[in-house]
Amino acid sequence: MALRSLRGPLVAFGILLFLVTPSAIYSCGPFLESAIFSFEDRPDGPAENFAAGQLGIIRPGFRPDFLVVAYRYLSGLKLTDQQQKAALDVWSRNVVPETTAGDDAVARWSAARGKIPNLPAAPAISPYAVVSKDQPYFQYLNCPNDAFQNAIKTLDDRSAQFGLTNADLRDWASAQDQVFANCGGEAHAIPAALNSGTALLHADRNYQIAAAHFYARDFDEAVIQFDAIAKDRSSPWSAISSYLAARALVRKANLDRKDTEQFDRAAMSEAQKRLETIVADPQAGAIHDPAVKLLNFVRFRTEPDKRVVELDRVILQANMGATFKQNFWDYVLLLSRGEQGEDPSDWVQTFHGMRSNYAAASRDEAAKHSIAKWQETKSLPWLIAALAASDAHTSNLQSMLTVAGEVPNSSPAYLTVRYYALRLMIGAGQSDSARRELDSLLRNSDFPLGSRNLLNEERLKITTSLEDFLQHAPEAPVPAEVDMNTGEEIPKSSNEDYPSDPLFNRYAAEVLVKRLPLAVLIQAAESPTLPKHLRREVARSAWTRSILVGDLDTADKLQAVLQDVDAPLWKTMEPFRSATNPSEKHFVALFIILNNPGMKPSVAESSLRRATLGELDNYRDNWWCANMNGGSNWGQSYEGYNQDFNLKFVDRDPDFPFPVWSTEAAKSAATSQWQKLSGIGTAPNYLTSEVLAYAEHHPQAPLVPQALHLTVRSTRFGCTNIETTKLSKAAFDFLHEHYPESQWTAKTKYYY
Amino acid sequence: MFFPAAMSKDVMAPSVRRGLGTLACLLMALSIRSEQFPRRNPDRMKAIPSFVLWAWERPEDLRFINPHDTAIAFLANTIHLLQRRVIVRPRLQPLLVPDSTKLIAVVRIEADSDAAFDATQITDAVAAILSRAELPRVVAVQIDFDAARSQRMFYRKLLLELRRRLAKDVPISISALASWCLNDDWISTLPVDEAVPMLFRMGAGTNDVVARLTSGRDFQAKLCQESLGISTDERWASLPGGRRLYVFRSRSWTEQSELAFLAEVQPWR
Repeated sequence: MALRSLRGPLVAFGILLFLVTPSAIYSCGPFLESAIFSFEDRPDGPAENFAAGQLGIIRPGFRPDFLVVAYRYLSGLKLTDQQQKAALDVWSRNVVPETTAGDDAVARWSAARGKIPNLPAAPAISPYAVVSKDQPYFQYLNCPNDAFQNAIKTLDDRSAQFGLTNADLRDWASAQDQVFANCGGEAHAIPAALNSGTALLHADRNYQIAAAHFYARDFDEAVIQFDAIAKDRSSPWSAISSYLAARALVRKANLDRKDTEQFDRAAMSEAQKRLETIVADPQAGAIHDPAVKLLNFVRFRTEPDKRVVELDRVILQANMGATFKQNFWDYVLLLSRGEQGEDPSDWVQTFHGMRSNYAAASRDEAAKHSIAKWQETKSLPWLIAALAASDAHTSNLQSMLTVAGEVPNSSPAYLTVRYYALRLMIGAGQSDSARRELDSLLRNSDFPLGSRNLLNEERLKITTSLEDFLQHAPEAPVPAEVDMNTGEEIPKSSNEDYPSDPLFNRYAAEVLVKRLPLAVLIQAAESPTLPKHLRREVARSAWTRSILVGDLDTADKLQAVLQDVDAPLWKTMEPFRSATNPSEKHFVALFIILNNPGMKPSVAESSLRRATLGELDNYRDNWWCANMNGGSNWGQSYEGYNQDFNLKFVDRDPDFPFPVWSTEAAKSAATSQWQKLSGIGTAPNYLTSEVLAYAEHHPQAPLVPQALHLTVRSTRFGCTNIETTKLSKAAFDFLHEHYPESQWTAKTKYYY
Repeated sequence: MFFPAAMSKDVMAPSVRRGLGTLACLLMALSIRSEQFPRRNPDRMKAIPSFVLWAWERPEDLRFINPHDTAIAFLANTIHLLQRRVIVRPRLQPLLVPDSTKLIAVVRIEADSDAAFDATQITDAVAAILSRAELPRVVAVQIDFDAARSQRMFYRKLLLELRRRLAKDVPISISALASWCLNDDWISTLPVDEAVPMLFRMGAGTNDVVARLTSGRDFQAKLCQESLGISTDERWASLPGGRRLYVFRSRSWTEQSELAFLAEVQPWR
């Protein structure tokens, strides 16, 4: 009785409270768009550790450049300190030898020639030239640093011999200016032949003429000139000229090609022949190594299948030589083009071929090949591939698991082998053994976080009770950031400012969203096993869910835990608690949801919402979409291109299993509630329809105008579909027709 | 401004002489000031389409775009100021566009802390920018320089020199940190036609900008009110419409990525 008499003031107070504090406010951010619990394409944690052989758990999605290094360690070999550094360079794509000319070289050349008195000023040198007239927007490095360094050294030598004031030296420098005038690609300046002077200066001039043709892109003439110099044994440039003739042919092959070709084959083949001759010459001397390097460059293009085999063998050498970095990079590029040779590339391509985003048929083929190769070789790399490829039905699974059990914990393969073995044990029903081992592994804090999360996810699949599940459901995300240049997610360079609060990964979210009934969700929200912010997440989503499925009793039961974990939201729910009429209660609940765009019937997976509960998320992660899953709704709205967008509920994983500890009654209740949710549809449409229905029957209810305003707002910022506009207009029209003087009508200028 | 109603032609009182002298000084100062702050021409940017894709240092085949409603702002040069040197690195990756595409040559400036920031560097940097302005189909230049406070005077002088030497009808656009557009407006007196607020990778400033724009308030600096710069991997549910939109993608553009992005921003554009 007393309560009834207080009801009016209580409701009024609640409304006042609601209007004053319309939404629950928690300080927020910074939140990431989506947390990563383990990297799919690379090891988490410092790359230096991986380079040093701390491999963590190797996954098929790892980039081939990581898998190559893994293969080496799995084969019992190592990388030296220098090779580890080279690996880090390759992983960060610090590989291209010289794409920029240090203007240092140009400046030093200018300074060197500037010492010669009475030398006319040289034109400005641009080391870059336009690739073609049709393509004026990008350039190539025509005159690299060594061109200027060589010129400086030669000038120094000639100055020492002839003296700075010597006229011939001045002439030499002028000719060199002409050579460099061609660097920018505009001029065509060829020094005149020398008719007098010493043999040395003649030789220099001939070399300058050949170089000028080279930089001026007269490649055929450059070859002729360099060949002539190569034959002149008296020339100091004889030895290098055979190499430079080949280099001219390589330039010709790359620059003077048809648009439809990658390179001019005839020129490249000719270059290859010449370079092979140089490399085979025991008298090659100083040009041997540059010729090898250039030949590798050429054969990468002309004989990729042979080259990959050569590099396969390099990877397995104990001493990989001084050219490891270039070889490693060439190898990675060849692998990226699908080249495959002997065991190392076979393993890398096969293991990588089982990555999750690869075509199913290709994955299956890779899996079969992995198992066959393990049976053939019994090697550690192929054991890992076979374990990753197998499932509970694989023949000889137990013998494979026995061999896996013999890998010592000192092996770089240990964690990877145990991970895949444990997955198989779980699939084969050996849950108890798997659980014991996983609990033991998870007590080891030395493992990288991503590896721990992978192991924990397996442990999540074999929990024994709700409490056991809640203990493993939260996972700390791996610190990550986006590489602005590539758009890839990479390990964050420092943990500063990185949110480390644990979150639900996809598996845990699916259990909570699809396979637990509201009664169990209440227990989860109440459990101190979960951190408070996740209890709050569970409580909010359970409350929203209970409203949508029409379970007002559960919505009432959740008030106690909401008061504990979400006091601001709980306070705004006073009108809900005070309402005794189910219809009014439902309406007030919708009003609360409309005021709190963060309310969803599903817990968030992999991240918490960026904005606070009561704020609109600028990335459109507001309320829910028809699919009802825990993923964020960024950018999701109907734009007129796909009429089916967000129209129907689609269960992304209808076969997702129930926890083994679920009772039949719980399973039945969860299934029923999930089915009801699947019929709700996208939030703006649902909320607008429901509010309109209430408004038509209760036009005098004081919150109706504001509720209509909020539904129109939801059709702008929520997850829409082709039917949303019609509902938005209906709410807009109702508001304007029935409440012309209301402030909410004035604030609702448009429908969407 | 008025003159005395009557004035002898032959005799000028000292006070009048002083007044005229003052007036002459004022007029001279004004003319100097107008050279310091050249009048902005609002028509210069009109020819640029309202949708612009940034094409950065990666192979870009953009022959799928509609050149009538899309322009391309391509990284044309990177200028590195190091001690007294100006190191210019051109674009080293292909750029393919339809024939009638309007191009904006973007020049990025990076400066080491020990850069001289002297007149020679200004001259050389401006020369490097002008060389890109002369490329075929380039209709504007855009400078991308996150100038620190101590570098602002240098930047101002560089822009003045560029404006002086650039063809009169070629607009100058600059990228602008969001803070420049908000409570640190030093750019309003720069001789540029557009300042594009860079609304991505804002870090700690994100919330302030989001709060401002989503509450219906605009940037304080008027220069920043005509355009927006966003990235495809940082979505905005809503931004002020009716502005030139520059879009960055951290990978090479494809037709599909462009269409998908256009669809997403259409509601608020």
